Amino acid sequence: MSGPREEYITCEAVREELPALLYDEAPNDRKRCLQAHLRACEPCRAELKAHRRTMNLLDQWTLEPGKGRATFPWTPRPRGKRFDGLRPVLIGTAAALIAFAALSMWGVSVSRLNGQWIVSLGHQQQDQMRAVDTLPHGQRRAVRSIVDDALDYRLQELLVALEADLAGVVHGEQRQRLLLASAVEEVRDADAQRFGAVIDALLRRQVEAERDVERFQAEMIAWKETLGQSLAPSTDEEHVKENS
Amino acid sequence: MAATDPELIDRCRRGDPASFAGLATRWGKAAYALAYRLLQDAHLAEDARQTALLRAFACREQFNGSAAFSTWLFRIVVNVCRDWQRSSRVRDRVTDRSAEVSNSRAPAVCGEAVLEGSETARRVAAAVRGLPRPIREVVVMRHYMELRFADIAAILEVPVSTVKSRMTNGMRLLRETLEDDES
Repeated sequence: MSGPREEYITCEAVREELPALLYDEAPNDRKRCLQAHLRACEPCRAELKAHRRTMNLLDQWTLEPGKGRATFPWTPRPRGKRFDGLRPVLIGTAAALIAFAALSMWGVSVSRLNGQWIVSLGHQQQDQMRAVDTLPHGQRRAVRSIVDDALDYRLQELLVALEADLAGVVHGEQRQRLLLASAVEEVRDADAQRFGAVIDALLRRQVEAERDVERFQAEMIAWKETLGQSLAPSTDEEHVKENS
Repeated sequence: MAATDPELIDRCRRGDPASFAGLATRWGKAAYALAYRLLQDAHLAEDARQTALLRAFACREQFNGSAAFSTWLFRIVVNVCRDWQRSSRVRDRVTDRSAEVSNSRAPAVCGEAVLEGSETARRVAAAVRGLPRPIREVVVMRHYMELRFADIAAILEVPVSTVKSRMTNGMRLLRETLEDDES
């Protein structure tokens, strides 16, 4: 009793299937068939070895040093791109720090405690406020109220300005994204138009070529007819000569 | 237990856009790796990853679940990379950067073996870059992303036989290029 017949397979078919075999994607029965062919066929075996060498070389291009074929490698993000997502926050924070530094130089410090903004005055302002303390009660309250209002207004103004800066930065980011998206669309449209133009030109050439063929055929027919007419009398003349 | 991709995309469609962040975290690195291997430029790869994720989020209603989310996302990444490769600005930039990479020397502190390894890596990267685009996509996805031929066929929307044929041609072309370099 004979065993199962091995499927006949050409060298060309085997070579097309070699990647599937090397990446272990060939079904078991197909794998057996390919291996049987490879055992018997030296050139195909050499091709398989060459593919293996190429695969080993491809493994050398890693994105993370020291790792082989990395599926999801980590690559350090390029300089300047590292804080892209945090850029608005960083710019806002920097603006706030500069503003606070400016206020500190003016002698005012602003801090936040338990959700409340606390504004404290510098030495110069404290001296002025001590001078205010010598004023009569009614005037003192009025001056303190004006100073408090001024400080509060300045703080509010500062916060509004910071919020505006922050909104501007965020808006700028969104605008950049939109510009990028529209640039991509433009490129795609331009390509579509370019390819459209190429396809149109090809179609025109095809039509022209067909017309040329038709014209050529018509000319051939006309030539044949002319040739037939020019041959016909001479044949008749020869007949006449022979008969005579 | 972490939610599966279909669960996350389903939540996202039902009005919980934050669940898309889970998908972005899960597949963002892979999207970057694919874009990097195709474009060979870290800046462009990062932009391609972000653009692909934004497009995926914007078109989340079009995802019908017939294929895996990763397949759908990788298709978007490949399309973004194709769009950019057609752009002459990007093409020039990639060429310039490739020239920089090929001219740059490995750091002096590297050992001889590492130096040799990095030289081979540059040669391989250049050889992959030199492949025709359809073949390069298949080689990158099969060899470096370790995607199966059937998945690659779904991503590129071509028959599996075409993918296998491109891979075979790719291996031959790479071998010729790399052997030429050696000789």
